[in-house]
Amino acid sequence: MFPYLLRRLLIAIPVLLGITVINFVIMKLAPGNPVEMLIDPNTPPELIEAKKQMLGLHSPAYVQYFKWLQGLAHGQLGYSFSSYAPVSHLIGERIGPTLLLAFAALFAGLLVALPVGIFSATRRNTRFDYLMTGLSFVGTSIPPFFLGLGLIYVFALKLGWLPPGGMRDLNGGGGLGDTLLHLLLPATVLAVAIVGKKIRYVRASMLDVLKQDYLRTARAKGAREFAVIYRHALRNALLPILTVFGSEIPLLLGGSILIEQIFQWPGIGQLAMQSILSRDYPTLMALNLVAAAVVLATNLLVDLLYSAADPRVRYDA
Amino acid sequence: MAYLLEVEELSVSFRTEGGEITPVDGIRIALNPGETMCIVGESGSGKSAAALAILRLLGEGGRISGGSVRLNGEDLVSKTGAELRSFRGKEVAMIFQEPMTALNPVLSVGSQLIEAIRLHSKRSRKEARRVAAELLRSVGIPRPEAVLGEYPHSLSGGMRQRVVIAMALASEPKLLIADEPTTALDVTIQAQILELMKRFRERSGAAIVLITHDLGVVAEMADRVAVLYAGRIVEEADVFSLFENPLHPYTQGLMRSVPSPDAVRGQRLVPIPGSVPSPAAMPAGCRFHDRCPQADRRCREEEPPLEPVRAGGHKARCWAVRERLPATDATVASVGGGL
Amino acid sequence: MNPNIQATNRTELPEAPLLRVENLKTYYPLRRGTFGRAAGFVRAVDGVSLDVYRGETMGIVGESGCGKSTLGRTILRLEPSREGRIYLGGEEIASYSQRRMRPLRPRMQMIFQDPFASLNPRKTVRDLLAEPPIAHGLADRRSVQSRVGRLLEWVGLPKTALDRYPHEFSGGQRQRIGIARALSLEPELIVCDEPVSALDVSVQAQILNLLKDLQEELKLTCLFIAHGLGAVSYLSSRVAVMYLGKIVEIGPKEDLIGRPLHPYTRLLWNSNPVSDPRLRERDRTLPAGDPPSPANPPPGCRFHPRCPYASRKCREEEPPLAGGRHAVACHYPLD
Repeated sequence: MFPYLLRRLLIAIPVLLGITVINFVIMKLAPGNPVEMLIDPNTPPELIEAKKQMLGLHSPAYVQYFKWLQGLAHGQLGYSFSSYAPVSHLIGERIGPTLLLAFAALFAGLLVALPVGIFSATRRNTRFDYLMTGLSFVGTSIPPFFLGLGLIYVFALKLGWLPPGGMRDLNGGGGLGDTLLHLLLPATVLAVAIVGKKIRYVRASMLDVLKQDYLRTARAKGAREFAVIYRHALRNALLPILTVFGSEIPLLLGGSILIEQIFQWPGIGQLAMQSILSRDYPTLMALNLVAAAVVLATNLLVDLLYSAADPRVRYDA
Repeated sequence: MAYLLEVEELSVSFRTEGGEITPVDGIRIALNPGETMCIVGESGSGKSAAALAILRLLGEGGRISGGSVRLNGEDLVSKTGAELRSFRGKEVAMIFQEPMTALNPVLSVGSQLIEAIRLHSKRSRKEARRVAAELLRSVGIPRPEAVLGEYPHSLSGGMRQRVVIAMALASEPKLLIADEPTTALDVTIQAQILELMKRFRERSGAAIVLITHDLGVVAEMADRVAVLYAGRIVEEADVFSLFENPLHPYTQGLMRSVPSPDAVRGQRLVPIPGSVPSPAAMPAGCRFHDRCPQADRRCREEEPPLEPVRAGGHKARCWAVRERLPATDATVASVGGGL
Repeated sequence: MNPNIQATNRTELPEAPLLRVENLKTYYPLRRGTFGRAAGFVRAVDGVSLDVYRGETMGIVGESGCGKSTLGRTILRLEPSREGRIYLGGEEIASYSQRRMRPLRPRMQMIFQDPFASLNPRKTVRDLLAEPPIAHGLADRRSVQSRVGRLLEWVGLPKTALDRYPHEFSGGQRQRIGIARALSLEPELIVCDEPVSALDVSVQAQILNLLKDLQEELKLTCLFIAHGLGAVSYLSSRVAVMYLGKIVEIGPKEDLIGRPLHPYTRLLWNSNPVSDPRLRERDRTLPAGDPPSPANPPPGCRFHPRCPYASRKCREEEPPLAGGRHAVACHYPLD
């Protein structure tokens, strides 16, 4: 087990490096540069030149990349071109809210999609099944930004029950309850999208397992239907679901860019948006690195969970 | 004498896209305690559906559309789910064809076996574990303690089938239903498994319903045989009478279709022409008529009844056999009793 | 007509075999880890030698995992061999590249166990039978039609089958199409890999009879691989018994069945159920347990852990396949 883990971690290094190279190339190919984005168009050219010199934008691209890499090797992510704050600091204060939002949505999505999917499968072709299948279609079809704006309009503007955005109340808030209240709407929007897709997935996976011979064996033993479903079928149905929920995490990070804009959620999605607009190379490189690391880490985690759940999968060196 | 199992006019139907089909159509089986009955048939004969129907394990889309199944006089068809569970695994146990898929891949052999034991007896987990190891030993599994902790995928097909059998024997059932238990196995392993079933039968005195397509397995195991074709029993007899004197043209055809290793060189097989009819399009009249060399107009129009035609309860469903055999024989048979 | 004459002729007039296999080995690496280092090998075929003469059918029997199917596929160069030689009509082909094999492909064809999986579902029977000869330049679009008609006749399918698709046929008919497809290239050697084991009993006999007729009419040379002893002995003149990648006994069918020399052969025969209930109380010894894994074969004679007669020598020293027409690999042959 441990050698396997070590090897996976070692393999992650070249993968991450490759991703940074690709990201750097794309960034450089994109039109515009940080200085143009920063400065008033009427600034004298000498000043712009000086600024470029200062930011190291005059050296050839590969030199810039290796400088960045050198910094990384020393644990430095550099300084933001736009705010001059250390990038590590920027990301550090933003990553928490994003992970909170993503995992809250994932958790809520699982909490709804799992039981509904299982019920739909075991009560196939009943009214409940049709209703849930229909709702799951609606859930996948509503664009998140539309749902987000709709929820803000109803719950924040009309009813005034929930805050329209942000993560904590400006006047006096800040407790856990306050954060959860702010979390409710954005997490719901993300969760709805997850639930819509996953209900159908859980249902299909469960239906597939319900056809298996070993369930007939369990029934032939005299096992109760409850035990047949929850002891024998569910664990098998969860295996593919595990993979799919794992693959949802990177999507959540991407999806949060939009949601964080709508709800003014102070996460890395917002930071990413600002950095893209201002061509803030160091911040973008770091964000990308973090996102890639999160994806690789979730993949590894899913694989480990899978091997824990499925005795047929064992990792040895 | 009271029968252990009495199946009367059992019909099984399945919903399909093309409408309802009835792969088992009015079969009648009666089994004494300790007796082994083989149900022989090809794919599509309805033999597996008949076996599953006894414990009402037909699955989605399938239902018993007629007849009754009585175990020790109690009708299983009218039982509720909870009542049925006290029969399943306890009075009647089942072994399935595919040992590869009959065991749950994510539960250890031990936990599946212990579940079977504890479902029908009040034993502590520890006690059940001890019994489980004993059961594994009794079906010829080496290192039973270790195997309890293993998962099905690490066992060979033969070993898995032994585990399935151990599970079936957990509550000392009075009736064992085995649906092609050796079809997926090599002949060497098949021979071992059949020996195992014979030993279980001798030790426990249980009755066995064995579903198979293999006449060799029938010859090894059966006391009595029912030959199933297209959802109907076409011939029924004790095993010696059947092999010595198969009466129905289908049974005769089956026997001539199997190449024997020690057959004289040059001796040709006599295959049955055509193929098994689909349950969605059963032929009128005798269901075998379109493949039967002896069929005449009557066979095409009118289905013959399953009737005793020889002494010892040898029954056949064939017009030609009825004509050939003198009526007295049939009378003797019906007086002679048996089913 | 009389296969006995063929058999005796062969011993009197030594002719070159159509197929000669020498010390053939097919190993599959057991890959482990992400970089796929081979951590060992499954020795599916582990040093097999045999000759198949023109017009004869060599049967190959053994339990699943004994390597019989891999042997057939390796001979057809569908699996890479690790060691050994394969001669087809005197030409050594084990060393050929796939490109160099291509012109030889029509000479060796295969009939598969599952005729459905081996027939392209999007092609009509006509295409299935006409395309191979055209692709190999054995016929042109016009001349191929009469060929296709003849094939249908050989395998007993009606002309109306031509424009239908494989899924419209029953299992037995599909196997007829599979046989016709294999014959469409007029091969010298046909490898039949369990051609009837997926079929119903009553249909098996139809296909076995068809193969027997074709054997006689077309003087086919076949390698007939099956686990069912009945089918093998029905069609073969000689039989080889495989166990864990090796041939343990080979010889004329009558000798192998009537007078098996290897304990495994006898135990395999013993395991076969007899179609006579009066014989079921017969005293018979069965092989113990399961065959071991071909990834880790036992030392000495590979059968010794299951053999009732094994001695110390059997555990330590591997017996060679020795003898004339009826050869056996056993330190203590029966009889």
